[in-house]
Amino acid sequence: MAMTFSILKKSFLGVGLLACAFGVAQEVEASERLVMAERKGDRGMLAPYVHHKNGPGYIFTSYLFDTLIGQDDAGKPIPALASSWSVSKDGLTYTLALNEAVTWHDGTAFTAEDVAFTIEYMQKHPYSFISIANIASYEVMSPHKIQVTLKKRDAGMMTSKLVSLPILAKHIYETIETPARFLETKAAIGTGPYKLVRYEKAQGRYLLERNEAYYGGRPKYEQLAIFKMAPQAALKAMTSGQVDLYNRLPVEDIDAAQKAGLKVFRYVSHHPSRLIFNHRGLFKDKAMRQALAFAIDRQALVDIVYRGKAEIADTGFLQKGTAWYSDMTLPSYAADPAKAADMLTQQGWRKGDDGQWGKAGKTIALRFITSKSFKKMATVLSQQLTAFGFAVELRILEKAAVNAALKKEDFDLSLQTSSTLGDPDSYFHRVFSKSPKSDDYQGDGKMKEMLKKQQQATSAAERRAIVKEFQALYAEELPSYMLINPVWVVAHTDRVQPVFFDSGIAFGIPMAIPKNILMP
Amino acid sequence: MVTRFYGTLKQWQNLLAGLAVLLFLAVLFLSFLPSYDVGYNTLQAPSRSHWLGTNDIGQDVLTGILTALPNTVLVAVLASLMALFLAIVMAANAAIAKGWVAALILRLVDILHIIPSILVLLLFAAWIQPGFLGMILLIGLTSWHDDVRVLRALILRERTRENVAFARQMGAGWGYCLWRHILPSVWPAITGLFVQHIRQSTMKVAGLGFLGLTDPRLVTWGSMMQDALDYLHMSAALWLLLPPGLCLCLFLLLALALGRRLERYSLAEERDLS
Amino acid sequence: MISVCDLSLWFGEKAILDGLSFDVQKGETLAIIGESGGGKTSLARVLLGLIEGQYWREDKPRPKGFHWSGEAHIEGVDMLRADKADLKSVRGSKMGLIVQALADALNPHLTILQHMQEMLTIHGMTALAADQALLQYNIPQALHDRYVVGLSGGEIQRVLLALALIPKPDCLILDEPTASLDPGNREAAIASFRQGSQQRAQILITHDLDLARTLSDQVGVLYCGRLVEQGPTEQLFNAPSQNYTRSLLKLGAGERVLSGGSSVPRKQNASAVSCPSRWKETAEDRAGPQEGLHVAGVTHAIGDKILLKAQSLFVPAGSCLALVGPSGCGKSTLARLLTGFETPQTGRITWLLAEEGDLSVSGKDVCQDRPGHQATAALIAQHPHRALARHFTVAECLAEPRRLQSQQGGCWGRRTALSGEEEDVKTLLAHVGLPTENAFLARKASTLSGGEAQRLVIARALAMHPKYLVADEPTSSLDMRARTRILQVLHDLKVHHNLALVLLTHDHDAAHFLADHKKQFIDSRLRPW
Repeated sequence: MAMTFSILKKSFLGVGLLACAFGVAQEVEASERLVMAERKGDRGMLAPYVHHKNGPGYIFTSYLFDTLIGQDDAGKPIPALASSWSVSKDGLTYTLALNEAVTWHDGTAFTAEDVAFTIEYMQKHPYSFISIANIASYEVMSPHKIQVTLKKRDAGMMTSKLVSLPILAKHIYETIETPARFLETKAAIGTGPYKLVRYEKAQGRYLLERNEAYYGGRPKYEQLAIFKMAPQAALKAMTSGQVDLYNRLPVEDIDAAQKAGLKVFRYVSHHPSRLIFNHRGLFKDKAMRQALAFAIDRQALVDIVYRGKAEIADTGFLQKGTAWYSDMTLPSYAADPAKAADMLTQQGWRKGDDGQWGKAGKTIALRFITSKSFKKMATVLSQQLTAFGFAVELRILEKAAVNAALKKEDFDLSLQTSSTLGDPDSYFHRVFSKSPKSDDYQGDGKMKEMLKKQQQATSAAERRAIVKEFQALYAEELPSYMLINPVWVVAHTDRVQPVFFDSGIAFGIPMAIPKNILMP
Repeated sequence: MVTRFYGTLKQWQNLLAGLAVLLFLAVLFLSFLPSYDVGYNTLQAPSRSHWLGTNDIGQDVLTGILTALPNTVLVAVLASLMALFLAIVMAANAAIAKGWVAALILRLVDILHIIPSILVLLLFAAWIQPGFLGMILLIGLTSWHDDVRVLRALILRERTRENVAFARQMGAGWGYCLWRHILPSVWPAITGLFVQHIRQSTMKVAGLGFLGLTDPRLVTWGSMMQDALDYLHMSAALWLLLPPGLCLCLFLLLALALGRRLERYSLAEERDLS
Repeated sequence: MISVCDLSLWFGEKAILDGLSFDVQKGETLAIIGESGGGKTSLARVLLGLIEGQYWREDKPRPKGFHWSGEAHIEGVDMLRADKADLKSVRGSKMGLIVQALADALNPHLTILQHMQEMLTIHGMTALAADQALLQYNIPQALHDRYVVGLSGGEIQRVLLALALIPKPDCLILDEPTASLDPGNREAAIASFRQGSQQRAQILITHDLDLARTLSDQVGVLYCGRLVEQGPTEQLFNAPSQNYTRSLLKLGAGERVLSGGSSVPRKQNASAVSCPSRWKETAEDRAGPQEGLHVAGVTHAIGDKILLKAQSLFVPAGSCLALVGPSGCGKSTLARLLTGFETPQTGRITWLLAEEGDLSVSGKDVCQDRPGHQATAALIAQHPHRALARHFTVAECLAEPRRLQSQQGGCWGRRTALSGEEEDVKTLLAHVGLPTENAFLARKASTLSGGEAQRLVIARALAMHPKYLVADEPTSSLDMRARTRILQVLHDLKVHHNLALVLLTHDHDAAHFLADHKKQFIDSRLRPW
């Protein structure tokens, strides 16, 4: 009980502290200030190497650091630091003309040297979200013109790399040997619409102010404050006008928010939960994965775990309504225990006397390992599997322990969630890599070939055709079984309007708070 | 009358019999208990079909309370028993053995006293996420040292009595002396410590569950309260938080009353004896 | 002052105290005399509020446990109805209690000096130095740093005395305060009870009539929970009005000849008992050189203190040797040496056999302490209750030695009764004059009176079929009647079981009654007396 009260107290304190925490902000007219709150706090220092490796960390950093190519209100590429660009016929050479009006937050002029420095620096110190290993060479042609040559053709260069790559200030970073430990305010000097005033790590609070010299026009708010708040406290604060936007309101609270007269921006996140298989264990064969899929009732998951406020995910990795999705009929693996049993029997599995599935007379337990955030879903899933006749050994562990188990391949099933948005380039990471959030699927290599082929595509249409094949193959092969596509919610007031891109922010972050909403 | 010799050890028999009955009841109870299934009726208020309502994934709260009962109470009782057993063994060794064995045990107890056992408990719990058996072992192993000194003092006092010296002279081993002479006479203290242990262990089980440091599949009153925290601002907190909380309080009060009663009983017995 | 009016105490239906009334003014001492079981100790405890029970009003149903009625004011506080805090403050500041010297009354983990310091701190008497206070009560420097384990009964009593008297209580309750003191220390103790008695009200509970006569101004005779007679000391002693008082005074008058009215069943005919001188002759007649306890050149020391220096003696079977010595001279240690509980540092203690060589009792050459060993010696200790497991029944106490002897190596003991056990137990009880009914067999050892318990200890010793008994102050904690019975039992055993008996005591009368030879134990030597 004590803990309960302390949580409550903390939330209320959060509201009360607002004014004190940003004493400077008080001098600013309320109409000139935007206050953003989110459920979880501290995204790290807002600079490329030190922000936390998650969506919000990247997005908040993007308010400070512009990229060569930006996104318009529909998420399509538009000029940003680069005012124009051209690609050679072979697709290997990119010539970028830079915007001459750009200056760094400290007033230093932005030149092609900074871009060149960024390429070199990031090759030496790789940036976690974007790899530029494919860049063979660059040439500074004039102070505001640079030519970049690739090792091999990359169809996603613009929409995935150049849109996402933050450009570093040469005069700041050239002396920094270990950028991961560079935490001074200076580290946050970028070219973006807002400048960092203060960062309080302990409370996860940020205070940003307008970059008056921004080349893309005068940003809408004089100040931008970001901090952590519990949903209930945030709703109260929003009704009293202290907070303007709350990112990721729990779906349960939609009614409360609407009752309080707030606007609710809800969107299907395309950040689905999916069932991960151990591809070097029981689920090596696609038939086994399919059999398991038929044993699962995804509608029940939606109804129980999400109380109906989510969608059943599409099984071909890409989700309906996103930029790269091709409309087609894919197997939906609607719950069909009889079929699942059939397929298992064909695989040599038998139900033992105890009614549990096994092979050669021995019950085989499925090791189902997942982290605490999936506790509810795992409980419901394991009950479904148990009802079907599987012996399930469910373990719910800390995230680090789950990752360790995945790495050791000491599991059969697991739950993960990650974005399906972004350029098809990102699928490499999400399907084939060893990362704990990846499917870690190799199969017969056909799928990987497909993705490599789309990189070489010369036209968008060709690319789209290959991605469509990938989509079909994914639904057939089931590197992982897409379960639920949850709905995400942003609560906001009239002063700000969230925007959702069907391709996600930058490399595919499914959030409705791109920097566009901070501009007029 | 004479055939009922060594009836003084009846207390031990009573305890063991009581425990056996408890275990039997627990098994019986569990086999009749409906399974703690998820269902479509999520966050339902108490009704005729769900007397205490349902939680966020449609599990019946009453079933949860009953499922958690042995996971809380039985764990506490068995952990206490284990701690007490260890304490008696250690205290007896420290009191009877001379030289380095006693010194070793006493230093070990000193060291364990210096280290806050609750920290050790939390650390290990966070590490291994104990289940039913794990919790018994963990709580038993982290709390036995509390009683060693007091038990040792009692055993020392009893062991210097002449009846023990007499039995020793008659060729009785220390095991015999301990079992027949010493332990029966410190029995009131042992029962007192046992009940006190049950209370503390219950709090520990509930605490670990509440902090989410137990195996998440193990339903305890503490873990039910933890799960309820997400709905604190909703009316659902009423039927999610209150029932496990009240059960916990009720059980602790029960243990307290039992302790009082035992104390009074053994005082009365001692008075009869003197 | 203490004022008691119509005080009654019940346990369930059974009345323990029945309508007692008396007043003790400041400067006065009231002696309560009577036999064990008359309710003396219960009176002390109810006055101190030490009994767990409740006040009972007659209009309420009778409670199950202890309950009482009446009034008992001590320094204005009604001890029968006061709440715990009041009781505590009265007990702490205004009242002192001196009980029989039991080591249990002291904390085994504190030294004597620490006890004193603790008491002084509690009463805020920091001006007084603890060691000076101890010396004042005849507790020599050498004892100050000892623990309770290292003290003799007399020394413990002196420590308790000092602890009770130094805070200068307004009321003092003395419960058999001199029972375990030797004559020298007894005189000192009596002197300290007298000292300052004008400033307090004293209740003396005792069976020692001499003590009662010396100390008290008023005497009450307690019999079966009633004050059968009450009056000024001299008047009561010189002209008792009640039969019971008369018989009590007669017992206490030092009459050693056992009257025919004694309840001890004896197989011996009355004429044989009546004349002590004849016993001696019998013993001497039989005292051939054949069997006996032989102590050869024993030297033993505890720390720096030498208890025995190269002492030898021989006690033939069927005779009694009394060793008389002051408190603290090492009697208890000697008793333990003689019975093999401890091994002497040099020298040997053996039982000389007529034919096949000797049985070593206590020596380095023969290992005698192993299961199944036929014990040669048995010890009868000062405090019988400490020698019996509280929770054993009478039958269990007596059956234990046989079971231990019959079992080979098992360490948990046998549960099943041996054949003929019940008969054995009853025979043993008969030997020492205890009842043989089943109800008595089933009684817990702790419910026995001191005299019964001591006889039970003797019976248990007999169960081992020992060659000799060593009795260490066997009667000092017992009342007059019980003492007489014990001495009689010991005497019977000596004569009929041909046992050698070593009596260690400061009780000259007892020594005189039992012993064939007497030695004085002074300065670590045994001297003829």
